[in-house]
Amino acid sequence: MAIFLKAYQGYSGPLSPPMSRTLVIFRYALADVFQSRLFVAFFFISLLLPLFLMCAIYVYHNLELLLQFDVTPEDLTTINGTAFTIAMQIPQNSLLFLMVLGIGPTMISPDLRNNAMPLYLSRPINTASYISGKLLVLIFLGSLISWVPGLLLFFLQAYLAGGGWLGDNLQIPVASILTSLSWIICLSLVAFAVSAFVKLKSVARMTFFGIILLLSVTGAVIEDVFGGLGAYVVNLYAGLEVLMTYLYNADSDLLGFVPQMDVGIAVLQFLTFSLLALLVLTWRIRAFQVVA
Amino acid sequence: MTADIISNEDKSAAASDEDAADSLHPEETDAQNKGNESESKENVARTQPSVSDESAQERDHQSAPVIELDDLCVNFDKPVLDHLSAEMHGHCIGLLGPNGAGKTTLLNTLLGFNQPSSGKAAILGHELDSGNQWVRSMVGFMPERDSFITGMTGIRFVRMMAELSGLSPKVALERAHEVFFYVGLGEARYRNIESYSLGMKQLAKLAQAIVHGPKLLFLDEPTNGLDPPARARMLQLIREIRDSGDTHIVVASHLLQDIESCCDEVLVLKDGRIAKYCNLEEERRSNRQFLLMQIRGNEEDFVEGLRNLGCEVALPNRRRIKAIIPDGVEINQLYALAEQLSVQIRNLDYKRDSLEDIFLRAMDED
Repeated sequence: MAIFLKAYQGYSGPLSPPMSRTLVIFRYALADVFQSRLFVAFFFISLLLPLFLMCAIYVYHNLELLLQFDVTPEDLTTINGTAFTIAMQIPQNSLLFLMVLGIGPTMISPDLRNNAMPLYLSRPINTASYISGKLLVLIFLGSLISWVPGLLLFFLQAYLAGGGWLGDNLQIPVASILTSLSWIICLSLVAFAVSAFVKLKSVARMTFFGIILLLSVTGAVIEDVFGGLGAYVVNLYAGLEVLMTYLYNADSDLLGFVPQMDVGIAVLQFLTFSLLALLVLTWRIRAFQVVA
Repeated sequence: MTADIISNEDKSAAASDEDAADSLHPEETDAQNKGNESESKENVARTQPSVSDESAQERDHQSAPVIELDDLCVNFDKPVLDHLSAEMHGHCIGLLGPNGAGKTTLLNTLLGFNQPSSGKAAILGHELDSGNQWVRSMVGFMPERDSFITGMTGIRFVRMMAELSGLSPKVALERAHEVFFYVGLGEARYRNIESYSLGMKQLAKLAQAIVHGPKLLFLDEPTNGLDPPARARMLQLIREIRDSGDTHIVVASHLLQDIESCCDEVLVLKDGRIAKYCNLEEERRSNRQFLLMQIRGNEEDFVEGLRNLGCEVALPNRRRIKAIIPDGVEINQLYALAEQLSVQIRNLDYKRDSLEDIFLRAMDED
């Protein structure tokens, strides 16, 4: 239909497969995220850490350069799961938290505030597709600043170290992917759940930060008063530490304090938080609200 | 019926010129309708997919009722829709009813937002359930309340909605531009949608509802909050979409004039039940014509004379007489009576029941 005709006509062309609708939400939400200069700056700063570690690995394997600084390979610590955990995963966990704090709580609330859900849900998508589309944004961006550069570092180290290093440390890429994804998904769903209730962006961010902080403080209080497992179950970061230590096969003495919690309970903790957040989301994300 | 007609005389007297023209020139209207039908068939043929299975499916949908309700009930703590059963075939179907009658709930149920407590509903021959993606790809929805996505220009908003309905990004962009010009927002398409006036937002909502060329369009109170020119424009657009033949339309409104000017079938809801379902044109034809007269002279005698001729007469206000003429009585006899009583007939007009009469009768009957 030419614009000048200004006449209505139906559409009989091909339709995209239903699965691709999730990607439409993802694409538009991603573009919205990159409209924020603050986020763009944060994103590129986040990439400085892997860049620095890449240089460090290069220097680590450059004997001539090390000798110029009077450092011998024996003086350096071994690069293994523990080193990756301390140098890469722990800082990345904080970056991921900041990223989710910045984006997550603001992704759902504008749609709810402006009554956009009937527009989404009257089309061939459902609540799950909508949440998945939004979640994919955080998974994509989180992956770019966590396990993707982690894998690059791993393969760079494997290439430079040679020998059997790759075979001895195969748990590192798996740990990097699983730890990062668990942390991103769980935090994102909690952030979305907050976003589904709190409609103002800044208040939603503060609420999300408050909830995570409150859970940690509650865990600490329970530990002080009662001690034992109950102290860690409510603390998401405690679960992450346990999961991370287990997956990286890291030396807990070198990591500092690691909560005495079974890894199965840590996994269960992540699943519980994620499921609770999903329940809240499916309850809140509806085409309309019934007013009694 | 007479009592109803009489009590609503003022509203009847204000029936639109369009209706009067229809009643005076039924053959022209019929010819026009036939023309629209043939055009509609051509359009439908043009939109049929080339794949044979899809064509067969498409033909099934065309022969199936637009909306089929089979003992449909929806409960929210209390019954909101109560055992609705109807088959609607119209090209533009009006959902009419007072506030709280269940119009929006019915729309929401047809869109799959509500699960029926019991009974069934089908759209274009497809039974509804929450996972029926086909139905959702075939419908467009214009909600009653302000609905948009923040931080987007109008064109981006409509393009996104088109892509969500299954159009490729390129086609979605093309159609978003076209539809913006079509609804009259072409010059405002790059403005942020939050900066639109209420009327512009209504048009943008219509644009997003039609951008993917739906087979069935749900419009919930489309003229809400519009000033008279904007309202006329919106109704004109609805009529154009209806006449294109590509799309069936369901309009929910409590404004009788809006429904009357667009719809060929009307479902009147009252307290969640169907108070009346009718084809407007048939309903008008089946209703008796009445005469609306303005006279000067002895009113009482003239009314008495009319009654003696066998007319049902009412006096809605001073110097206006409403009369239903029985079979066998000619207009000439009225003039003769007037002459005999020295009464001047200053104005004489044929009228039929307006939608308002039908609606009010439906409300009363229940």
